[in-house]
Amino acid sequence: MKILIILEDNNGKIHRMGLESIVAAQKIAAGLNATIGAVVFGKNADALADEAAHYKLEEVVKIKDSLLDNYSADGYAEAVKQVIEQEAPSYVLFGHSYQVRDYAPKVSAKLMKPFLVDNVAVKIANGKAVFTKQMFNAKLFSDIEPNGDGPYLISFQSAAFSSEAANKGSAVIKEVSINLDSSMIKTESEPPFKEEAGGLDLTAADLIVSVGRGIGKEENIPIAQALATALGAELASSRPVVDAGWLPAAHQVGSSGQSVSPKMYLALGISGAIQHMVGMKGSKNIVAINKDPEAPIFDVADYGVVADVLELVPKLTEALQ
Amino acid sequence: MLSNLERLIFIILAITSLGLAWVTFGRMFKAIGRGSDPINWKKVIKNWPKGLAVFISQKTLFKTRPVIGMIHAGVAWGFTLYLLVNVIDVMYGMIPGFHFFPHSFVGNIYRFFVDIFSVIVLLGVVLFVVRRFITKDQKLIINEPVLLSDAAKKGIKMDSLIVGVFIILHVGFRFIGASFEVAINGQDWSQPAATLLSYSWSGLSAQSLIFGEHLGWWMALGLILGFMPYFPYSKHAHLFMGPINYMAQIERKSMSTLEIMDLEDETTEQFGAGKLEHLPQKELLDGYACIMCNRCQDACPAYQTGKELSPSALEINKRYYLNENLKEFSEGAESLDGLSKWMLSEEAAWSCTTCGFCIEVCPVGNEPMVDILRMRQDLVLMESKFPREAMETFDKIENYGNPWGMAPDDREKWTEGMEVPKMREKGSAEYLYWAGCSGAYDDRGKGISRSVAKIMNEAGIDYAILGNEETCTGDSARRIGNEYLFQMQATQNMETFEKYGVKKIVTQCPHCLTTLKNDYGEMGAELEVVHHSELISDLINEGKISPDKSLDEDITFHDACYVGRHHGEYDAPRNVLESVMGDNAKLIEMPRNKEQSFCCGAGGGNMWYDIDKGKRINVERFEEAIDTGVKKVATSCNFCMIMMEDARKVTGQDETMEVYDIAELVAERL
Repeated sequence: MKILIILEDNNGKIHRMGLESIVAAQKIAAGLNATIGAVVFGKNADALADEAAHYKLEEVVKIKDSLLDNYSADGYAEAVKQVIEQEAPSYVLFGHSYQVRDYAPKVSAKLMKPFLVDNVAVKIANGKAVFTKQMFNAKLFSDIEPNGDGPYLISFQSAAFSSEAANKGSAVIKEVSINLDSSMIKTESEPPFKEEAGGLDLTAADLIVSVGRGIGKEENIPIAQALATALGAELASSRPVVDAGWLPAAHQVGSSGQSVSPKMYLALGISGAIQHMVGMKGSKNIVAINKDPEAPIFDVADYGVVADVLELVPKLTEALQ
Repeated sequence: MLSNLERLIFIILAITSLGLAWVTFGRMFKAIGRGSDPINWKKVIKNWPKGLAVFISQKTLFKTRPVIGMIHAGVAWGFTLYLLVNVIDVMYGMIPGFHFFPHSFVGNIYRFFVDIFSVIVLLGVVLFVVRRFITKDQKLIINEPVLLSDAAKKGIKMDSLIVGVFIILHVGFRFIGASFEVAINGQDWSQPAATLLSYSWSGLSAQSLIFGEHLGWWMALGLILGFMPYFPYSKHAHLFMGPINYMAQIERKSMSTLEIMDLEDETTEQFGAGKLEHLPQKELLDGYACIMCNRCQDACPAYQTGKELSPSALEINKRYYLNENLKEFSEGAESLDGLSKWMLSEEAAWSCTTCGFCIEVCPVGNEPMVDILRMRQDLVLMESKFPREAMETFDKIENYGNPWGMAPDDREKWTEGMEVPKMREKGSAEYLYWAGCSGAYDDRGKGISRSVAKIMNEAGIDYAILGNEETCTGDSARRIGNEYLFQMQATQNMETFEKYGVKKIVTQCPHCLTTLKNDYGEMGAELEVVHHSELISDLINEGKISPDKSLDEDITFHDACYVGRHHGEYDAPRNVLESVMGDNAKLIEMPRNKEQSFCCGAGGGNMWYDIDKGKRINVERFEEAIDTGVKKVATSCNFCMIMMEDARKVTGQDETMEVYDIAELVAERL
């Protein structure tokens, strides 16, 4: 049995979600006694292959074709389809990246094989891999066991696995060729989208320290920043703090800002108005510090401290340091 | 008066001018005809009294800038008189021996008015020219970062100069001609100003006087002949396009209620307006009616807080695009793809809070806000370009039936601990009480809902709520441009209304109010929908509730756009406030109130995304409240409440000022 991982290029390095799918593949391979091949292509194929060869895989499949230098859904889909046909794996794993969302459905259609998207976990049961997917906006989980003839195309949600958990080792690099010609590629991509300068992706943060108007004045923002730095957390805020110009708009969490779900959300002097709450209630742990014991933030907080932020936070920072 | 040769020349010039004007006017109307939704010209003509009333009364000029409005009225009335003057002058020149009722009462009255108005028009236009070119009134300037096409930048000044100079020369030479005529025939006190001027010519020979009169006649009427073909390119066209625009006005249930899109029609290839020709003909006419006075820009909450949006820039860009491409466009050429590239930037389109102030103040009946709503439909339904946060809002409305993304099962939680009848238990009721999403989920909103329920319980109203069967009306979806999502929500709610035989609805959410009453009305629902302020005001007037008059501090009231301009209700919330105010308390109005109230910044979907440019609209408004000196602010809208509460914190008034909903003020005094 063989598992194929399709790795994505992130400026010459393997995309983090690719590393995460290595973890998934190693888990399945261990349970089902399968071999793993990692597919690399594109203009940085050599560098990616070298990097991939340092992981515990059986082989790295390298495709060198100038038509794959720049991303195109048509080209990538055709290349992946052909490599799947050549390698005949049982499972093909992808990270559920923007690129994959774009081209992998075409692969599925070309092969007439199911594409099970955006999984968050995998386990082995009765000699088969079972994938877990969120449903109804993450209210329910469903376990899905693909049946019928493989290969099954599977993608994993970002951060479903920790990329650091990928086992190191060594793998053989083999170069394969495929049949592509420019007439197959009818789409052309624009340059990749870049977050505007000063953009801050709070959605990726594990720890967030967030300030509300309870911080009092702009001069007190560094107190919260110091705690965030000590924790290795990102600094966020409620809308009034941004409206007052104390922090740039990129820091805003809430209905007109970003929606976040970190492992811990530390709310400092945030009363918990609905437009803020909807942006952070998905956090795994919410810790609230507020002077007002009636503040609605305590309704959603897992831990609450009724205290003056300005007194407590510097002590907390000091203790952490 | 004229010699035979002069007559011949005049006839040739007149024919040439009329011929050219025929071509340019034809192009203008053909260009308007390129619009999508045809103007019913028969109906427009039938509406002539409306156009005439606006033209004669000049009443739309006085809503803002009353002084400028008065000067304009003088110029406009003078110019109207000049239509007659020009005809009579042509007859005077062309028909040998013709005089208009010489030495008779009628003739004297005529000459007197012409004389006076000549002076009024001259003074008025000189003032206008001074205001634009010398004192450079800021109101006439469109600031960065608004998108203004190069053609418009150059054109506005040039056109104003041409029109100003034209009027001054036309009227000026007519007046000078009249003074020569007085000098020839002897003083005529029915023309006091011309008589005064005639003394300047006292030393001139008879020959020179005749030459002067002819020169005046030729310059005055020659300018008209010269100007006529240029008319459609000039903003001066507003003098007839303005009234025509009024006559062509489309009747809408509310200013933001657009026609319902037929989403089932598979032949439709365009939703909303992505190009000029997608706009209805009436909205192309808007561009011709615009005189670039910028009253809308003065009013616009987005412009006033430094955003990219100026409603007048939208109309001006439209107009100069038409001017530049008039021949090709009128002959059927496609316009430049993407209105956001040249008419109104995308960010500007998203900056509109749909407050309707621009429509309210426009003297010529333009509706830039409606253009913006159509552009948004194109951006959302055709281009899939909209603020990221709006996408989340769509998702939440679609999945949870509320824009907050809260659990649908928690919708009636606000009723816990009090008696609030549910439709599913009661079966039917006279009033459906619609709490709306913010009334159901926002903490403060829940308090307002409890206040409304308490008032209705006290008054013994036969009412019930839908509770968990209620779902978002789709206001934000529709105003952002997601017609599809709106219709989904509307269909679902209308089915529920059907089930319980709902005929009357009361709600504290002005956005739900407008949507249920007007947008659902457009979809065929027959509902009588009232705002809680109206119901509470009635209950007080009928004596069904009598709150204590224990509010003993001055208070100011912030009008919600969707209760005021969109629904026309200004008195009810004020009556409600009066009912709780003690003898010492006064209602202190903010400078911008009632029809001219300034938006809180949340309308048109702006509740759900932020335009990170310039000042916050809610802060601008709250500062206006602070400036009144009162410590209490009343609102009658959940969105306004949230925005005012935020602004209260941002402006550092957490400890000093308070914001209330009118229902809260009443309920706590029962």
